[in-house]
Amino acid sequence: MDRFNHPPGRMTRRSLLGATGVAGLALMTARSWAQSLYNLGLPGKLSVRPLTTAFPQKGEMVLQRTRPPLLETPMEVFNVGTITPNDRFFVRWHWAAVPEAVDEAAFRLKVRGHVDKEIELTLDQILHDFERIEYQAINQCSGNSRGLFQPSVAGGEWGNGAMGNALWTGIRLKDVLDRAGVKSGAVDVRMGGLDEALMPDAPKFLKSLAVDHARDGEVMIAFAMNKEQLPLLNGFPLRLVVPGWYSTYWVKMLTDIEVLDHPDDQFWMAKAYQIPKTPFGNIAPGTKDFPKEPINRMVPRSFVTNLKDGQLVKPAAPLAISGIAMGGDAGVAKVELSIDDGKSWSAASLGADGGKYAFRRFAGSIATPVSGTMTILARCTNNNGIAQPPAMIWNPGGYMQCGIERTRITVGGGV
Amino acid sequence: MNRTIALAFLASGLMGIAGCSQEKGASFSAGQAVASVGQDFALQSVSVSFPPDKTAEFPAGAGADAINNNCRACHSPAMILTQPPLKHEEWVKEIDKMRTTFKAPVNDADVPAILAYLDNLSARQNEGSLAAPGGAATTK
Repeated sequence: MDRFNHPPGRMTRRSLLGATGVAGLALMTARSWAQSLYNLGLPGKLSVRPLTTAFPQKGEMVLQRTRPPLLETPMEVFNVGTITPNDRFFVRWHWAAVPEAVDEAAFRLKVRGHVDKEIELTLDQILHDFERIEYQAINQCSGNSRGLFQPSVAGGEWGNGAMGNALWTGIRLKDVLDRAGVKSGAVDVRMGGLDEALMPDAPKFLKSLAVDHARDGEVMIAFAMNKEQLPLLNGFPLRLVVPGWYSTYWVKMLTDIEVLDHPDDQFWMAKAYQIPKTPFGNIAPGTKDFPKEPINRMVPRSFVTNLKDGQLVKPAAPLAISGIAMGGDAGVAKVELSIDDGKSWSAASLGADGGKYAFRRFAGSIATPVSGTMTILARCTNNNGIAQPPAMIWNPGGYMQCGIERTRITVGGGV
Repeated sequence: MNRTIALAFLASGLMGIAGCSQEKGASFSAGQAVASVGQDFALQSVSVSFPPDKTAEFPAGAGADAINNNCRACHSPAMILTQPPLKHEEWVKEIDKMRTTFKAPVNDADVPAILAYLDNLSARQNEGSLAAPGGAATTK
């Protein structure tokens, strides 16, 4: 059965019956029908996941994995505004040893290492002893859309929902580093959270920024997300916000900052999260030897959110197209739409500008064909003049997907 | 795509949608000192419980005991059950990464049975007869 017969998204019993066939039906009847399922539209692999409301401080999420928690935001959430609600924001942890409780009074943020004096800050000090900053920024998993890679690669098989945009409030990492006094010769600033590795000698999750990046005045220690304290699963009480960079650097439950006088060469910087040193991290599938670097700045992306892939539409009628775009490490300059596979493009109108690191809505309209199908392409170009590449990219880690998305519509009767 | 469809964009170009007009962003600095969160904002201690595993055990099959005994200490079965079909040597690499890098306590004697289970998982996925965790069959 063609895997594209059914639009991705919440599955009805009827579409599920159509998708499973006889063997699947036998299996399904052995279990409960009550469970809602979600089709991520992943090609050539298992594409359906349960929807769950079982996680604390979280609404309905696509369940990728219970432990360590891996929860994806359903795409419908991105069809409303530009801010992703806290209870629908995606969740990703590396190790299962995530504390289920955090005591506000007992919590401390330490700054140590290559500094004049080591310091420990209470949450009260963090809230009141430093100047506050605030901005919207997109938090996107390095492996967002890995499930769309062809050929497939191993890892968390996300659809497009491992991303979100929030208004973050906090203090500058720079100001906290200045309070400890960074010594000359500092190279990297390494961040750690309250989560721990499960096995002795296994690498605790730690990420580093170059000292100049850490002190750029934009990198934030956030204590509020959309004007509320962070959900525990999104990093309560403190999370590093590295605007324009992939989520792997946005260390959750941030409790330890270590200034290093040498490059951070531990596993999570030197071995994990490596991308090919090529435009968009793109290489031909199967390429064995290529120069690598740690993943870093994000690149432009755009998603049509008001239509599902495979959606039935009215013939010969105007059809509104709308969605969200991101510029990556620069603002959204323009979003264009094409219905001839990229031969010609027309500019979409842009919604309110929430800042260079935020989602921005786009909207346009096309006329649907009299019959048959049509494929709608959306392409974002950022203020650095970087446009999304025409085809899906590939690398062995399944990182940094940014190729132009294609949304198929079919003119159908009864719509 | 034929020319008729290619010309389907309205002559005036794409129609703007009401309330979604182009707005010029004010000069923006992410490091600027502002906060809509008031000084009375306070953090409250949090205590929650994570839910039990949705799919607690690997489905029955040759090698199920070995994989249940060795591969659930660090992660849910779902992490493996949602992988794309992998080749034998890719599964070998994954097991090696779990043992060498992440220090998973896997018994040497159980590795062949675990590999057999994983190979069978991928084979069934390739032939389209595998159910995803939670009960839905593949959409292939």
